[in-house]
Amino acid sequence: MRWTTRAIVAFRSLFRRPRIERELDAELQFHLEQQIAENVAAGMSAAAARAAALRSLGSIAHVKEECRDSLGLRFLDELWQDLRYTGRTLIKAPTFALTAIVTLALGIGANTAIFSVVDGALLHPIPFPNPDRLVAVYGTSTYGDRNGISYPNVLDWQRQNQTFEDLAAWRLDTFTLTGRGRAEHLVGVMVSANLFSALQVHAMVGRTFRPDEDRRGVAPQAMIGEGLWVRRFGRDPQIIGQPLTLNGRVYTVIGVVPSILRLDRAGGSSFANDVFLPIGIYDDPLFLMRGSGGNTRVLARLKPGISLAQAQADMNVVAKNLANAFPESNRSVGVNVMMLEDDASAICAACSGRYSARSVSSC
Amino acid sequence: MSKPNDLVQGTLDLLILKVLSLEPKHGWAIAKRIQQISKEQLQVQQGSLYPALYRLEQQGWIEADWRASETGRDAKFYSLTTAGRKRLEAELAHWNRLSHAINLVVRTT
Repeated sequence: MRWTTRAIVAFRSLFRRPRIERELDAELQFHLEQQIAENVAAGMSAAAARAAALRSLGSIAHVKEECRDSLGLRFLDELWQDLRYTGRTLIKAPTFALTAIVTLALGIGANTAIFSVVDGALLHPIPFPNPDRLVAVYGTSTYGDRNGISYPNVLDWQRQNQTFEDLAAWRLDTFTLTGRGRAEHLVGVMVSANLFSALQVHAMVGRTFRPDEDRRGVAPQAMIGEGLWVRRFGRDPQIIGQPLTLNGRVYTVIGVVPSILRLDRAGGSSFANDVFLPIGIYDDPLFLMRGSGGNTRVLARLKPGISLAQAQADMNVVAKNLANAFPESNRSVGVNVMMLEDDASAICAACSGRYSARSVSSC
Repeated sequence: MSKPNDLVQGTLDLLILKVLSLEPKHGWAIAKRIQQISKEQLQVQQGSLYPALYRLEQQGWIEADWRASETGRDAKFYSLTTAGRKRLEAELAHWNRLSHAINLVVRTT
C-alpha cells in the first residue's frame, strides 16, 4: 500500500480511536468467551476453563498493541511522545529555544520580504505604460472590501467621477464558437470600449471598440485574442470583417488583442482571453439590475497628477450620491481604490500572458 | 515487538483469505476453521490472528461488521472484498508455485 494511503488510514483511525479501542476489547472478549465455552464443553470446571483460556490466549495487552500497530496508530503514539519530549526539552533551555526561534523567524521573514520585492518589481512588472497611474476599483460592503459591482453602478461611476481618465469595466464569461468547423468552448471577456485606452493597449490587427459600439441595439462586434487568432485562424489578417458565431449570435470581427493583455481572476486560475465583446451589448436582466450581486470588475487610469487618496475621496462622494439616489440597493455599497501593483487580491485585473503568474496576483 | 517472518505472515494471510472466501466469519470461527481443516496441525494463536485481521482490513482486502453470532451474541464478522478476492487468487498462485518448487527440491536431493 502506498504510504499516503497508509497515512490517511492512520489519521482517520486516530479520530475514531475510542471506537476502535472499544471494538478491539469487545472482539477479544468474544474470543475469550468462546474459548471458555469450548473448555467447559470439554469437561472443565468454569474456573479451570477460564484460567486455561486466558493461558492459551497469551497477553491481551500484547495482542492489542499488535493490532494497533497494524492500524498505524503506534506510529502516531510515538510521534506524540516525541513532540512532547521536544516541548519539554525546549522549555528547560529557554535561551536556546528563543535563539533558535528568533533565528528561524528572521531568516524566513527576510527571505520572504526580499523575494516579494524582487518578484513584484523585477520579475513581473505590470506590462502597460505608466503603471503607477493604474488602479483597481472595488465595491465594498459588510462582506468584503474587494467586491465586484453591478453594471448600472459602473456606468454611474464613469459618469460621476472627476479623477479618472478612463474607468473601464470587464467580466469573464464562456462562449461556444460554432459555424467554423469543429465547435469550441471558449473563455472570453466582456469589456467596456475604454478598457483599451485605460491600459493603453492597441489592436495588433484591425482596431479596438468605439464607444458607440459599446451599447445595446447596435450590430454586435467582436475582437479575438492573439491566442485564438494563432490557433484557429493561422494569423490570417483577413479575419477582420468576417462573421464569428458565439452562443448562436453572429458578431463581426474588428480586431485582434495582443496576448500581453489577459484579464483573469487570480488565485491560480488561468482563463484564456479568446474573445473580447463590448460589455454594453450584454442584455441579461440580472446583469442590468443595480442591486444584483455584481460581477463586473473595474480598472481605471488616474488623471495625471491625481493621487490615490484624491481618487478615493472622489469615489467616496460618488458612492454617497448613489447611496442617496438608490438607497434600496446602494445603502451599504462603498468604494475601494487601490494601486494595481499593490492589489494582491484573489480578484485579478489586467495581466499579461507572459507575466501571468505574478501579475495575476499583483493586479 | 517481534514480527513473524515473511513466510509465516504471508501464509497466515493466505489461510485467512481462503477461509473467508466461502462466507463471512468472526475471528474465533476463522481460527477454528483453520484448525479443523488442517486436522489440528495448524493452531492459529490469537496473538497472530487479530493483528493479521486488522492488517488485512487496513489493506482493503477484508471488511468487518458487527452481527449476531450463532450463539446470539454480537461478534465482529469479516468478509472478503473484491480486492481481497483478487488478492486471494494472486496469493494462491504464488503459494502453488512456491510449494511446488520446494517439493521439487526436497524430493530430488
